[in-house]
Amino acid sequence: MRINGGYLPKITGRPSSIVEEIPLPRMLSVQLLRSGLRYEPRVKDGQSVEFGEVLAEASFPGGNLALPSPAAGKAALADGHLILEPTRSDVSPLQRFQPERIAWDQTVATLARSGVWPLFWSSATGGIPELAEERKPRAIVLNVVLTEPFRARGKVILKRSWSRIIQGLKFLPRLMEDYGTLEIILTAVRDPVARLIYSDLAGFAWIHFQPVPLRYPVENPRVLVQALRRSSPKLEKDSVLWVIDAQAAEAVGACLAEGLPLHQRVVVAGGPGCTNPRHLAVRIGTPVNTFAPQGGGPQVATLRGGLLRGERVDPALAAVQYDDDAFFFLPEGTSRQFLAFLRPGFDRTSYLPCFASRLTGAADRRISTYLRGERRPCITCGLCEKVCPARIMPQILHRYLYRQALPEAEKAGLERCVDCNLCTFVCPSKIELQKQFSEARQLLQMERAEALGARTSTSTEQTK
Amino acid sequence: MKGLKAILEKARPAFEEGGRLARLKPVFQALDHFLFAAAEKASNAPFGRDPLDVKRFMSLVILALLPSLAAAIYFYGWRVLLMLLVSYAAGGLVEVLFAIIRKEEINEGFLVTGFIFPLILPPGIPLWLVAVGVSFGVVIGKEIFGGTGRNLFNPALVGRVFLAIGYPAALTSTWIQPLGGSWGRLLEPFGFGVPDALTSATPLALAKGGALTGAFELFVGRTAGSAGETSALAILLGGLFLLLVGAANWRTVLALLASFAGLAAVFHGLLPATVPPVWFHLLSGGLLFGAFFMATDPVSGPVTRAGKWAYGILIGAVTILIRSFTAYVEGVMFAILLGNIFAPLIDEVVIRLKARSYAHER
Repeated sequence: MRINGGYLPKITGRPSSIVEEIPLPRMLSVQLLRSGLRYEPRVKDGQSVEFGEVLAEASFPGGNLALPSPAAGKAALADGHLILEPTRSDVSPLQRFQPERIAWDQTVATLARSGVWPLFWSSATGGIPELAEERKPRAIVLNVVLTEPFRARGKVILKRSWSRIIQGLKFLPRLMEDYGTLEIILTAVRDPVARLIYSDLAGFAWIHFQPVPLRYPVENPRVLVQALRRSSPKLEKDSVLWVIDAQAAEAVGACLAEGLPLHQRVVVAGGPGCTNPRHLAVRIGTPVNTFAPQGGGPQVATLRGGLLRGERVDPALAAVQYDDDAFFFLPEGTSRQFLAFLRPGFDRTSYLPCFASRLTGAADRRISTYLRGERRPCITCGLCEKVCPARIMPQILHRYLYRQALPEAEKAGLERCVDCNLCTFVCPSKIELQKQFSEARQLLQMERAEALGARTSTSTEQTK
Repeated sequence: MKGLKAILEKARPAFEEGGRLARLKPVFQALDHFLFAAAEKASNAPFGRDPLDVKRFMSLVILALLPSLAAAIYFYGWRVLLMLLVSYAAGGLVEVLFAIIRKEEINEGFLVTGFIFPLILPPGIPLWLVAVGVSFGVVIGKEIFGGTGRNLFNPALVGRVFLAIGYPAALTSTWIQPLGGSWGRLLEPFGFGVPDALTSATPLALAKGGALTGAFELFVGRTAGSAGETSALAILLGGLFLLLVGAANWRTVLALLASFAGLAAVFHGLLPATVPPVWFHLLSGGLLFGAFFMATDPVSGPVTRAGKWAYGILIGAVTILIRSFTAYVEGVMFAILLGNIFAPLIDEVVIRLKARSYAHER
């Protein structure tokens, strides 16, 4: 499949493919906010809970989504989150199913109760698929290519939990339309992994393999779906597609075939601020401090997520949640380099081949929380247009929004933005493009809602 | 370096709000940020950023202009360096004044304008004209539009056109004839005065009379002409570097040169007596300099990638039309300014086409 634009910055601190098991900590912390949904606690303060018991629930179109307990222990309520003091570390399976004998509604109910459902992404909603969706997906896209520095790599997950993933994939046809297909995204179709998946899944699903370039942001579901629609003319324009990643497939397998609700994540501790970048298998709720680089302290910023989309968190308060797969440790900028812009730059990499690292192939060793430049007016260098995966022209949008011309910006493709943050990353004038765009989109949605409200109110007045 | 940093830190309070020299804050800030990388941190995701900034971007252009400057000094003497200093001093003063009045930071874009300006002037021009031209260019071409990034026209070209119209005599008869020896004019002393070897015969002017200058002379630049524009060798060296590091857009350059060469070939085929052959046109005058260093100015050109093709084609075609069928011997300057005028229009067309393609997309 062809992917527009995109860029994969070369950064030091790439995690090794060894997965280290982190023992169960003495305290787990579960946030009651997940993918924008607020969960209501279903346990009382000080109550003992079993492994897999529902800790909190959120109502969602078509039913309830639940957060299952990652371990047996004693629960305590706190502001916005839930503290769990584990008493036993064992995981005991709940109900198991077989892919040939499970009905659609049972599949959905089990996945929603086990915390797996929010790992799915649907093109119909632009987020979590509705539980009672009339329209089943035409195809489910399994993405193995996670490029953002540094998210848990698909190949590492595949190697670690091969049989669970295969089990999970066998259940997926239950969720799809009849004759729905499984589209597997890999970097090369000739990948030996492709043949293995094919032989292990024979008879269960119709599989297609789609090769993609190893460039951020191929893992963005909107980018993937758009590329898939372009490359397969057989897909109808409004057909529903779901996107999942390797960890979601593993979670489906664990939940349905083995009866284990979502209780563990493979996350990456990586980045230049990390002394030992690696993959970690951790129980959900594990505090970030248990694996954060020692002695990092205020010298290292902790980002939840990768370098490009990650948000700053306090490692003392943050814990691994149900959707996490990356923690990026970025050194805080401390020293101002002498004549930095005149240096040949063997130790920094840029989107433009204008540093000497291009000759040696070195990775960026100097990246920090610094902006690495001054804020300037746009010089229309066009780099943002080049990297944009959504085929929009950020420099034009910026110009429109600078003079508050929202309708023009909308026409120029404002809502096609997929929030990959690449334009903001490469901008030499250090303009906060992504922030500007997301604020403009919110404004646009508010205006639309207001217009809709006004129309309905006038129509009710007319009927009076 | 530590001492330097300490001095800056000691001086900083005086330039902050309420300090004795608060008005001069832009000057201090420019010096501070020139010497040491800025310390501002990213406030939004992504929290790590690409190391490319406007300073680096502009210094790449200046680096690419160094061969042309060296060639100019070699062929026309140390006077060219003096012109550069005058251009930086006068233009820099204007830029600093505007920054202080506007309370904005001093923008690096001026460093490129001030460097390019003397290179597109006749090397024998009186120095006060350099100062007048660059000041006019920076004020009218850039500052009144809001500074670098918001200007419609290439400021260096605005200054050049102002001089060409306001002082035509000084601009058409102050070319210097290069010396033949292997040291060029390097051994001549610095001089404020105008050298004696002035001529009004540039290769393009001579070609109007039917006398073609040799290809080798044109290629190395041993002819009369604007200081930095004559040496095709030096321009190609710098220009290719600029394309290689990605600071200039190859689409503009390719479209410009291709449309220029194509039309030149057609005209030469139709009117071999009045229009010189393609190789001559390509190597003479300011075409290559304009193509690599002026038309590729991202600010005054079109914003969109597709628009850059149309922009290049337009400039190339207009240049050869002016050169072949008007009283002017040189046309790049006017062609690029005309291109600057058309750039927003080209962008508008590209944006509409693109918006239409969104609607048809699956």
